[in-house]
Amino acid sequence: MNDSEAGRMMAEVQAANAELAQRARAPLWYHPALGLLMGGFAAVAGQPTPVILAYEAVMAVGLWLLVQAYKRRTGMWVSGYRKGRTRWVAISLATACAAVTILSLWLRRTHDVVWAPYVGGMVVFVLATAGGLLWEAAFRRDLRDGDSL
Amino acid sequence: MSAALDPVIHAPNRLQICCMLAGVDAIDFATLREALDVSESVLSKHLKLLEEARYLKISKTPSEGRVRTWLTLTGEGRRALKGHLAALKALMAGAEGGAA
Repeated sequence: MNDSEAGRMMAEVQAANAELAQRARAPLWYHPALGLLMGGFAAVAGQPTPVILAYEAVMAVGLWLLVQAYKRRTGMWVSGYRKGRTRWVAISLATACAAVTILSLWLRRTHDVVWAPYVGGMVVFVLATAGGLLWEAAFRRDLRDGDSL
Repeated sequence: MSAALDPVIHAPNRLQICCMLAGVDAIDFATLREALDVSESVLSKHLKLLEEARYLKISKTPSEGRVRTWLTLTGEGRRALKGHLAALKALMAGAEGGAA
């Protein structure tokens, strides 16, 4: 193989990555729906155990439906913690959401701030929705840069 | 890692298939066929070769009353692709170095 063939092959690689990046778009409602599920989890954190367990069951079904919708829409599935910029976005997002949830729960339990979990839930909703969109943009950028391996 | 061209990945369509699979956890047959703009039989042949080389895992799941075929790059496939791309880059770098 000569250098021009190698160059042509690398162009094929870039074309494949660009094609995939084009397709990697979740439905518009996907990230807000995920944010709602995560925000709901933070909001019910201060409730009695049966309420939390019931919400967890709802959340599990909701997450399963979201995965199915993403797969149906894009024809692919991608781990949130995949290598690349996406991993940092996912870790930062998970850490921020966990911190807000724990803080609101702490305020509820130790300072009796009844509304704290609800505000925490709203913050998590915003964080998760914005973070999801950011993750998707990072994913497309990783693909275009060929940072897949 | 030896940077040698891999004959299994070398064909343009198979190189594209491996690169697309490297970017995701799984991709379905129909999406891949559309992305590559090839016929089902052509894609099936390429996938068979990749599967025989253990670079690819094929699984089928029911979805809305039909069976969907999902494709995943194996660890072996990922390593082979990495080596192949390194060999391609080395070829290009060698050519650039020679021209300078």
